[in-house]
Amino acid sequence: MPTDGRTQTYGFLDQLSTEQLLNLLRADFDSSEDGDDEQIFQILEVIEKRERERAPDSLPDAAQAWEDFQTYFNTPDGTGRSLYPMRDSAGKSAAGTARRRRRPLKRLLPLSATVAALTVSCMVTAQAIGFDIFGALAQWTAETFRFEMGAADPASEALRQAVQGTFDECGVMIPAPIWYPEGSMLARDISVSKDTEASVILCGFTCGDQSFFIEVQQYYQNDRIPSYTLEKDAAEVEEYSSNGRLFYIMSNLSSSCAVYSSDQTIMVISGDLSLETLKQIIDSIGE
Amino acid sequence: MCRAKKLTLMFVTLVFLIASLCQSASAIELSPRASLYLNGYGAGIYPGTSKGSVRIDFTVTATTYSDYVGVSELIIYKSSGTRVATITGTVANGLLREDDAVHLGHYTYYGEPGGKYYAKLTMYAERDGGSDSREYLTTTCTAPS
Repeated sequence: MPTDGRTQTYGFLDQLSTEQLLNLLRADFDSSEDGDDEQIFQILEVIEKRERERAPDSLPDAAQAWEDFQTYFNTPDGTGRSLYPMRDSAGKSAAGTARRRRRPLKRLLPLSATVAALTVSCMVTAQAIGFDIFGALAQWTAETFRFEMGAADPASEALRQAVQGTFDECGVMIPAPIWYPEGSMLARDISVSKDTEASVILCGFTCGDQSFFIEVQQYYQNDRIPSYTLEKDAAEVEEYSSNGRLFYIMSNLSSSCAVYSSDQTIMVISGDLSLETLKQIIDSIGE
Repeated sequence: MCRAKKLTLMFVTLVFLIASLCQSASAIELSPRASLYLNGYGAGIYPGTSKGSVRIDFTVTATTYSDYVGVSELIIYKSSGTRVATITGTVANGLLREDDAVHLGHYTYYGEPGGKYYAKLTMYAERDGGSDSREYLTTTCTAPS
């Protein structure tokens, strides 16, 4: 009769044959999970007890067994090989590896799903607030792929088209800015001064109680470009590169100004603009 | 000794005073040249299409829409420095533009064939009763002969 809880739990081991007990030991050895140490201990006790009962004096000579092990098993060509012969060991090993791989994946899957759901919900919320996340992701044609910010804003797009149309009429070689501060509108019709040697385009915008201008001087001959002077205060001039163009940003008292010059074109962006807003406009000028 | 001390003190004070005045003068010279009315301007002088003529092209940009923007005075000189023409800018002669923020214009002077000329322009912008101007000198150009 079992007299303690441990014996009661593992009492079934006595019912198993020695071969079955050895199989249990092999199975625990192959498993990647932590085995039941108590069960292993009980199995070994049962096997030892049976060996003692069978032939008390026939217990293996430990010294001889160690010598045999060193001679036949612990050799250089046995390195990395299993001590016990395995049936379908490759399959069992692969299965064990697969089980181990699936375990981290199973843990990561709910985490990934949670992160993805949070990201999408944040994007939807941002879109509702007014940030055009989805519109700013990507645009592509058959030949090019690019990211564009603010391109989908209808008001900015209308301004861009108006400015670009005038640029095209005068042969301006710089694209119109795509982005304009929220609430911007043309103060009046775009002013165009044309000459045989040059055209000057002036786009005046209002944005609330503030105003700013985009001026482009397009010269049609290389030798007819004048030396152009801009008024500025004592603040430092900042060089700002964007889309392959070098702008010089300066201030003229309360007004900020960014100027770019290349070949036969001079572009000046000026007005009641913060430095950040000025740079956003500059960044929206495509290549 | 007392007198020597006094003289030394006076000398040091004088040096300090002169140094202060110089500093003030240099500070004035280094003060910013920003403008409430003018944003930018440029001009060039080029050979004209006919003998002896030179053409002066200019662009003047105001800081915002202004009552008048352009060139308020144009003076043409020979390369020797002799003044040969003075033109007052008006809307009628194309040197000034009304109710705008930028003016692109030109003026043609008919001088001597082969003559060398340069121009001094007074860039100008006026708005709400206030105005500002800057002088601009061009390079020298040879009229066609």
